[in-house]
Amino acid sequence: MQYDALGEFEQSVLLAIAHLGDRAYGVTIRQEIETRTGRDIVIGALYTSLARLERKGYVRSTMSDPTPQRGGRSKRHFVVSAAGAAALRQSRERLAKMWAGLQPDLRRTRS
Amino acid sequence: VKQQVPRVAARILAWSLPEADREAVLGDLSEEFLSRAEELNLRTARQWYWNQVRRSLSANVARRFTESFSRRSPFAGSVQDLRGAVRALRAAPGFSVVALFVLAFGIGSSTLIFSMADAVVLRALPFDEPDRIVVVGSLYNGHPGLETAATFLEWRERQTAFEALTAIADGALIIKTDSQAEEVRLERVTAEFFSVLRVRPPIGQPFTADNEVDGRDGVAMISDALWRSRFGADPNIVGETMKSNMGTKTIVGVMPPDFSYPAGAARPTDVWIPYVVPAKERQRATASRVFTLQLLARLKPGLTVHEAQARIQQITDPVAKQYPKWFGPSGIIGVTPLRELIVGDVRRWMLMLLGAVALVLVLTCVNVAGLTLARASGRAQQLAIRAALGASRFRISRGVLAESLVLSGMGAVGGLVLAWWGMSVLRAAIPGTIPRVSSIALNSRVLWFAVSATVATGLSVGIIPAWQAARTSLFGLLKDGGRSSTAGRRPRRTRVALVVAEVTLAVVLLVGTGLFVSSFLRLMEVDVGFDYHRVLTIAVSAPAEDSAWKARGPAIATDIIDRLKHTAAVESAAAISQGLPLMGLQHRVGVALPPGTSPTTEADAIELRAVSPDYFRALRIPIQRGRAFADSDGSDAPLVTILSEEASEKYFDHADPLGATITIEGRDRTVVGIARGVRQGGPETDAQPLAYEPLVQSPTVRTVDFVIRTHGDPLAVLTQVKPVVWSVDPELAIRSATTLDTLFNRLTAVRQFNMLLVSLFGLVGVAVAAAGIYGVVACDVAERSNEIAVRMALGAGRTRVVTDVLKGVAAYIALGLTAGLVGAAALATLIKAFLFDVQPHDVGVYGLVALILASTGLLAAWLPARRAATVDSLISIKN
Repeated sequence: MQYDALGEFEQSVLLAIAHLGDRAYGVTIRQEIETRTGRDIVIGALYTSLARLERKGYVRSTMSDPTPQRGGRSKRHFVVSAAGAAALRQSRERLAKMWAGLQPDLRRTRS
Repeated sequence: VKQQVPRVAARILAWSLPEADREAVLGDLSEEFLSRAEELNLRTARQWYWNQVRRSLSANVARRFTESFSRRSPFAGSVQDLRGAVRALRAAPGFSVVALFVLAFGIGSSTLIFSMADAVVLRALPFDEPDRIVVVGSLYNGHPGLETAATFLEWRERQTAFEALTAIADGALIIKTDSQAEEVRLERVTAEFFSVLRVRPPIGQPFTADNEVDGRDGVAMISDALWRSRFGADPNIVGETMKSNMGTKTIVGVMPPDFSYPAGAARPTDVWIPYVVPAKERQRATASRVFTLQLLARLKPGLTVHEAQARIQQITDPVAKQYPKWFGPSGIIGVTPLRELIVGDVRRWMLMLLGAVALVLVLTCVNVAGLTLARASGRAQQLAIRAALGASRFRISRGVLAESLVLSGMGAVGGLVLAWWGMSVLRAAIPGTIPRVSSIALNSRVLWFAVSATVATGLSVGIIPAWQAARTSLFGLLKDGGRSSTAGRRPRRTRVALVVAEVTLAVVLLVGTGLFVSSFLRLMEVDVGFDYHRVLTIAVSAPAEDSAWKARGPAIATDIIDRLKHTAAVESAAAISQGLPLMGLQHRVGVALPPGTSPTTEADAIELRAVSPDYFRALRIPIQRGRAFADSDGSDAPLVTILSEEASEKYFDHADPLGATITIEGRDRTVVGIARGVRQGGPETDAQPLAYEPLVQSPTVRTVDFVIRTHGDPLAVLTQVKPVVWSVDPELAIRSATTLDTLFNRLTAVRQFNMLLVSLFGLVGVAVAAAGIYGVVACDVAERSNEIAVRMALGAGRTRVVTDVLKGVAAYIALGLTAGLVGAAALATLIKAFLFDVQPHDVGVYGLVALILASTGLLAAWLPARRAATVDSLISIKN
């Protein structure tokens, strides 16, 4: 089955959720991407991406109970769905196919 | 401290987010905010929060609205509305152009004034965490004053409120090269200066406390400007030396290019050298009291100004009890944020201007609302057809609203161009005495303001016509095909109400203008007590380390005056020490009177000036009784003084002061003359008691100001004056050569500037109100053209018809006038502090304003009325 192509940022978000397991929500996802890649993620961009992923059925979310350190607001937990995992794999395979056969020092010659 | 997320930011964020995400995103941000606030600090956390909100805004808004457009939401079809609005505006070019001009002016002028207020008053100082920088010192008239070295040393050692406390002594440095000497502004500072202001020099390093010892203080930091102008931006400057009147200085570093201190000064400092506390000023017991140090400090994090004040007061109180004369009269130590000190009085002016420009903006809105309404009645039929085709009332009023938003958006573009252009004019025109002028710019804050002003304008302009459009009766309109004789009663009443509002606002603005203009005129006519026209003035100072100057100063000055008198273009020349007239009260000394006269108290201090004999002749200050100083009043002759009439009245009441003895600054002097009072403190300050002493009899002469009355243009004489000064002593430095006329203009420049701006607003107010009246009357007579034609066909005279129209107009002009005068009278008390010699309820001003508005209004009404009455009645009826 063909899945919609994933953008780089969407991949990062999905992978961060996968890494985090059951601890994935806005704050941790943002920090996970930030510590791994050094990218400074704006919350608005993150949720825009999450909304799109959810619409495509790649992530599912549940609301948890409110906590005081969040100003009495609830958390929204995310998990990667089976379709999301499949889409991730497909993206990786497509890219791998494109990379196959290129010199290992490609990056250096191009930059 | 309660650690709470920035409320405004949270509000904006919540608004921008799609409903479904609100809870989670707000929660995420506040969680991370709290952890940041704990780990780092509250300030950084707030910045981070704002940053997140700002950068998320466009993505959020886009998502929110695309999502809501896709559903059946009240915003569906907005794009269509906008297109329709543009089409409608293009269909009525006359209306659109006029409205655009009015809007562009309203938005442009308010943006301009906001940018000025923002740069001068609202924006933070250009230092790291500027809110923590404070000035510390005994309070005089509510401001922290200068302190002694002994107090500084004590505080520096014992204080617990500040991260760092530094002492700054202002001064001048003469840099010498082989060919010439140049004077630059100098500050002697302790090493903490650089940590208080958090200066990180791009070249070299600031000097340290090690340099604050005699012998090791031959180092200097220089400004970026001096580095470029004098050292050709040499990157290897560190280690270079420069010769000066204070010895040879080794340059250790260059300040950052954007660093300017004192912040906002017209003439910032160029050289900083270590301040070494003189040995004899270290102990209170031995020291004479010299108040020369401004103390600047950086508050410890989390400490409020209030807490810092309490701490410094606590360690000072016991000392102040023992040495009361070392502290201010109240004994209270002030801790004032640096910004407050710099912005000071200007703040009130700026807020007043912001208030005035807000009135202009409101007036703009009212006017364009009126125009829109007049137009809306013309196309009521078109709207009715849309309604008949099934458009809801909501949809129709939204269309009208979209039009006004598009209009104000376009007006904003014009306004920004206007503001941008105005800024360059303003920067050049603004008086140099207003701080931080150079930082006026179209920055993001100003743009935010412009955008908010635009949206607010668009909504308020559109809301009334939109509401009117929604409640129009379709049936009636369609039935008579738009040919009904008059528009519905309600729209007309609203239009009239808007005109009344315009007149009201214009009256308020014009009364403000009147009060400011007459204040300025009175100031120009004020008698300052001397003749300041055609007088050149130069300040001459000797090398600061020349200890012989104190003794030689008067002799040198006398020598210079003698030589100046023989210069062709010079009518008379004289010298004054301790400050020119108008330039401020700065040398108050104690007075004691001989037994038999009224006793004096501490409050009886007097301003003292040392002058050369010809001073009164050069400035044309009449000697009312007795005599002026003469050459015979030499340093060995009996000590004499001349009192101003105010001083004579204050100290001698009705007794005859001539020949009496008065003790001034500890020395007994005989009064030989009474001079007319002079406004020493400035053009707006009444003449204060003043005493003169002969320059050669003065114990304290440092800098001497020369006043030179010339035959022709004073500045042209300057080229002849300079060689004369240097012929006496080539080491002398000449500063601030200018005319007294220029000084007077500089002192009145802020008032003049404000008057011009307020006048501009007043004129615009009248013009806009007149345009409003014209518009309504034109619309009115057009709607009534049938009726008018019939009346004229039945024999009514032209004059009669015109008079009838005018009568109606006069009624609502009168209504607006009354409301405006009452409103102005209420508001005028708020600007009382800005007025000079004019009462806030000056009858003349109010009367004149009423006259101007009534006549302008009637003229604006007369033009369309007359035109209506000249139309051939037959044509009108046929139509």
